[in-house]
Amino acid sequence: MTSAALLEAVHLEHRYGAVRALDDVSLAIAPGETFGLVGESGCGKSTLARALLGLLEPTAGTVRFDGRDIAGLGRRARRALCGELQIVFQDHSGSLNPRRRVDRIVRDPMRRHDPNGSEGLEARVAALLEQVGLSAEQGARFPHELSAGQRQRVGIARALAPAPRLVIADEPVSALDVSVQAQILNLLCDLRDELGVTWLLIAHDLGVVRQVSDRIGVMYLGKLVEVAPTPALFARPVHPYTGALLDAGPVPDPRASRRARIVLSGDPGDAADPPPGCRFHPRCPRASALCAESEPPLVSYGAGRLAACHHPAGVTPEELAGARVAPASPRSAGDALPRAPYSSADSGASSSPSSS
Amino acid sequence: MAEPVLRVEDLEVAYATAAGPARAVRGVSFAVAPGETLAIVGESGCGKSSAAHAVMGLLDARRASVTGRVQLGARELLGASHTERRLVRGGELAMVFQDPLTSLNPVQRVGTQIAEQLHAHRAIGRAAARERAVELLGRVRIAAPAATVDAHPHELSGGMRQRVMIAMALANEPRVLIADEPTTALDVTIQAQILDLLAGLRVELGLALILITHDLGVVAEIADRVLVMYAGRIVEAGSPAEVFLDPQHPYTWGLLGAIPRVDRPVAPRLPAIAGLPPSPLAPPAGCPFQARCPHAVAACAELPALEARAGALGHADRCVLSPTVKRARREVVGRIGLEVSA
Amino acid sequence: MRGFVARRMAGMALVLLAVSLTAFLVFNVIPGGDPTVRIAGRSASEQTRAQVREDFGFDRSYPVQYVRLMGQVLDGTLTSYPDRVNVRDEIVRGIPATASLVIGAAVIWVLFGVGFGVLSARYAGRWPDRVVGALAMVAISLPVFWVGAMLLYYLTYRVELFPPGGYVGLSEDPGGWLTHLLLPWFTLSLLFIGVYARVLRTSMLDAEHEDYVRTARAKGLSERRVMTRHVLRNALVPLVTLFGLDFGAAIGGGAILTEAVFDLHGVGQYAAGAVDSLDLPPVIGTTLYAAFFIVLMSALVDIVYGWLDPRVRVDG
Repeated sequence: MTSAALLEAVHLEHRYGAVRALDDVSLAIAPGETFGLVGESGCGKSTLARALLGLLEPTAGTVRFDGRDIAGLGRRARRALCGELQIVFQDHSGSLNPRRRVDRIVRDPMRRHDPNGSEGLEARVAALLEQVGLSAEQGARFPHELSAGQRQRVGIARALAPAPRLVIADEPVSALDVSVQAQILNLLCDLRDELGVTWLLIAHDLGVVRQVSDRIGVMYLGKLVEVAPTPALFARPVHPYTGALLDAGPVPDPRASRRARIVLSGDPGDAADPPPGCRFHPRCPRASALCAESEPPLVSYGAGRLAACHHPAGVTPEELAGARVAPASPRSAGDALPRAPYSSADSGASSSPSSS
Repeated sequence: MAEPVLRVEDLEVAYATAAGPARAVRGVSFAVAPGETLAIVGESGCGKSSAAHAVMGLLDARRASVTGRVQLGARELLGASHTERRLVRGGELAMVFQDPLTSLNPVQRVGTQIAEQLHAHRAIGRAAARERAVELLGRVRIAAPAATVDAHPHELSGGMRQRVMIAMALANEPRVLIADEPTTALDVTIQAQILDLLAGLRVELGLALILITHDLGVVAEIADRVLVMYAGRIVEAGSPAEVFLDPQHPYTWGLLGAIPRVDRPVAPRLPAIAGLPPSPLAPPAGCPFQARCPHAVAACAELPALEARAGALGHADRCVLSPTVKRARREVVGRIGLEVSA
Repeated sequence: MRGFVARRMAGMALVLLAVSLTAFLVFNVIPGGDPTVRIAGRSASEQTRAQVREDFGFDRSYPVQYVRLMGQVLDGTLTSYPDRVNVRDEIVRGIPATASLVIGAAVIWVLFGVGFGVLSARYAGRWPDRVVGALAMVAISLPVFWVGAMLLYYLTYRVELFPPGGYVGLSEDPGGWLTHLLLPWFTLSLLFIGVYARVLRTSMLDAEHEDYVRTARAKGLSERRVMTRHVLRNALVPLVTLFGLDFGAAIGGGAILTEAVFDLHGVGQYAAGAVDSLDLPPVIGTTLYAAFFIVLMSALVDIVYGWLDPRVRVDG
């Protein structure tokens, strides 16, 4: 974890009763980067987003923004934090006040957090709306009068209004049609390039995340199982769950679907009663006895690649030799480093059809 | 293609609204044979769900007008009586919906819901119905069918709920199964399981499967034929190889180009289709895609016929441009690995 | 389940405490309620008054008076100030009338309310719906006492079809019991029929748009089965909560107007009389009685709700 990180989660844990939504998750986001967080329902990514924003108080661990622990902030400092750390929600219709005009929705956070006061506010609102692709005429409308894609643009404009340094986008395109999704993804890329805002993009679609992110983190059942720069994650995934996610996503190419691939059996485990050892082992095609006993540490393989697996794939023997347990590794994990890279000759189960 | 089990001709659906009729489906025709999977693809508002609901007879006659012909085997459905249609629904013609959490009755046990469908179509005792429900749950590969049969929907996971819906639809050995976005509400790894299941069932039972989706990846997985819909009309039809690898209609290009792919290099910008689909209250007269098409010409003002222009007999489209011009203008070749055939 | 019951009983104790305290405080604050005068008589001497005050403890501080009153409640010696009648006995005497009135009316209002509601939903937007809707509005708007008074005038005075008020015990004279209650039943249920019909109509129309109803139709179920097993079954659930509270309030003596107009001498009428004469003990007694029933019904409603909707199971 570099001290230059803009937003950090340090051994973050959150429980709802018996459910361990987040189990010792550590993550650092550097200023200016776009970090994509991927995982399926129940993996804890939304809980992580809320904890990072300070919307919920984690049961253990720390969140640091710009080096400061956000838990200890007083009310005024907390409000100032809202100006620097913003969120775009998935449910654009639910998160926009239906009784307010779009330009007012965008203007309010701008006014609240802007030291410049109300001079030129209208002009700045119009400029921001234009930047997200909305006309002044659309700014005068109410949310329900706009299309889904346009509403999402409003959500993005509102998040950008106080000129934040980091924006968390929680499933910003999952409810949108493909062509609208493409428009919004392009917008996010443009904004990233123009404004220098740091983004944390949360999604369940790897393709979406890949389009916009510099680095990607994969979560499963409350744990971070892999982190890597985008090209590396897709070229050489280390953790079997990452591999399964990649394989599971249907590819719009009829030739590709004939290839053998991993179909995971069963449902994602129960977060209230996670499997012992590695949480993924009941569904893992590479699982061994070791996996059922001990939780693998989050290991750094160099060049920003981290993975928590006893039988990592996609790593060369050199990388393995240089591997070390990452500081971000959960405290409950073991510290035994994997001995050899995984090869598909080892395990019997690889491309079997699903059987639950 | 073998003798089709379901044939739809010139289907039109219009909803009565305060602002006039909203024409959701404007002249759609297709057929599907036993053991075949037909995928109907399009974005929200293109009319694919409305067409499916119309075929099933789920549209309220007071609010929607349906014209055209829907033939199941030798029987014409659209003119048939309410009772006749009801007997076919859930019997020979079954449907699975998008969100299994809201599509199952929350206060009824899962087994009861399956049994209900059995009772509605045949004379069967309660014990026998329950046995069959357990058997069906096993058929859709649910791990502990005897225990699951007494569960309530909210006690099951999303994947299991969708399997329950499929089991229910299979209860009376349908000849045609319509699946309306069956995997959209599910996680990607569960999605793969459900698609596998549907593909397997199609083979096991000789079902004709109509799959409605906006996800082109899903289509490429299991479809034998693809229909691309836009603004209530079919704009392209063909096999997945034809539609994905040699797409003839600019809307199809737009759809394919807009998908962020994991199997190709990342494009700095996704080629997105500008603008929005037309409102069904004011459907355009000529080519439905004309207003958003970067390649539109004057001839597009008149609705092009859906016909095979690219050579392959089964591959039809509604774009008047010549295939040579189309292949030249397609900007997505590199991105989606198109094969430019001779 | 045991935890639930324990929690609810603790809650009830708190409610009863709060309710009695409020009644007590209100009564001691409002003007004109000086019980001393009422007990001693208007022309009593100062000495008599002082005596009365001492006997009844009105010279003590409020907390002491309150505790004393509660003591009387608990051992059943709560007595009305002016006429020295035991409050508990009076309440018990009024229960048969109130119970007969409310239970009978409840059966009627549920049957007709649900019936009209289903009718309205079935023909939504068309004339049966509009007619029922208009009638419902009228039923809700007509003041209960006016309806009662009109019925009394036209059906017991002008034309002697029914007895002019009063209550006859069931065991004494079943026929008389019935004829005495028919008009009060109608009067009390009218308002509720209107409300329940409207509420159920909305609830059913909402339920009809739910996805699982579409699935039910897609399964080829008969329209009747879709309406009963799926739509109505789910639409009734919010009505259950409503009914629980309405019934609880009414049987707790809330049907004051009806009881008074028809002179049924039920608990409600007794309570009304006590308020009228500003007599604290019966007010405390009837208020506690009412609160008890409301808390009880509210707990029962929660249990029934959990049974009806398995998603909302009452945690044990």
